[in-house]
Amino acid sequence: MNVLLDITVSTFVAGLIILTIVGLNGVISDVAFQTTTSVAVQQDISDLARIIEFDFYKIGYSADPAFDDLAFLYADSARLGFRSDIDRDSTAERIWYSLEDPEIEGLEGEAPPYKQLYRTVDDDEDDDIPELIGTGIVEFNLQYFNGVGVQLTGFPPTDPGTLASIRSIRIQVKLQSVILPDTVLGASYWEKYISPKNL
Amino acid sequence: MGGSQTFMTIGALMLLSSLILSLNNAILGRDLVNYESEATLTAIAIGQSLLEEVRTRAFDENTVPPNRASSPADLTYPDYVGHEDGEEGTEDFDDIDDYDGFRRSVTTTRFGDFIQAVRVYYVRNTNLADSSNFPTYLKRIDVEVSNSYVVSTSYVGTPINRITLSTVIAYR
Repeated sequence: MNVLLDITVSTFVAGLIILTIVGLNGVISDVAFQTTTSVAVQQDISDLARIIEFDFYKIGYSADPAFDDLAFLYADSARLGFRSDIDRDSTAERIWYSLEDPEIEGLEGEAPPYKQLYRTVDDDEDDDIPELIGTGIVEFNLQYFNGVGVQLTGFPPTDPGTLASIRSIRIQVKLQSVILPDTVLGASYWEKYISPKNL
Repeated sequence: MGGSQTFMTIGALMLLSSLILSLNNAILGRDLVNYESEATLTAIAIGQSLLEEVRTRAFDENTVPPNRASSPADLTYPDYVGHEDGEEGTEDFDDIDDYDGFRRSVTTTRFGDFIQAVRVYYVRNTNLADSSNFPTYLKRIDVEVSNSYVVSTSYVGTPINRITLSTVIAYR
């Protein structure tokens, strides 16, 4: 009888231990996955920030106002077009940043949980393919300021004078992991106030 | 015999529980470090953004174009740095030291409010860390960003919930 009891109790305890270890293993895997995702999002926003800073600080470089080459082509809170000689070939390219909805399978017709940021360099050649530079964007905002730091309103502007008066841009971006749409495994926020030297 | 087996089983379970608790603690600690690093990156971005905004202003009230300073004596005296009467917000600020004492809150959805506080003061080229009692061609901007999730370490080793970003602007 005692032996039977010993075997029952030890089997129960062994089962409990195995269950605990399996559960713990699951938790460790989840945490490792979450950490990796979180680090990946931070890396993504860091890369995005580097691209934006590379371009935005050069806005207006080699654009010649004497030939109506305004530095800005278009500006609103989610889309920006500007001229800049980013490849230093003495000709200003037209560069476009635009926030677009992603195409997600099974979500056709529904509001997507995040947006994607595309960058297009239009250098008068045929292969101006939009380049995806940021995904998982849940917040994105562009604000424009004049030479004395006053925020300009009414974007997109209807007159070129407003575009010509832009001297600084504030960009605010929040990225989120897109692996599991309903779960925030990692997110990161970045903002920058940029005053291009050529404006 | 049965009693000793029971004790050994209880001992083993206690050992296992202790191991699991410490492992759980390590997991939670790692989560916390993740959140702290994310909050710190956010704080740095917010601080840099404000630093950049301050840098766009004129060096001094007396050098707002078309005015020029021919010597440091032409600049605002250290006791009078800060925004002038009638300059209520950043839209009215036309020179760097108008931001002295300025505070602003940036709200984020993940970590709540980040409080920015600015200090602007003259420094000498021989010592960029301490404030100068007389005007110079160098002004230092300190932007402090605080949030309860941000953790950095003070010079005496105490954890603090803020970071400070600084830059020095020279009059040209």
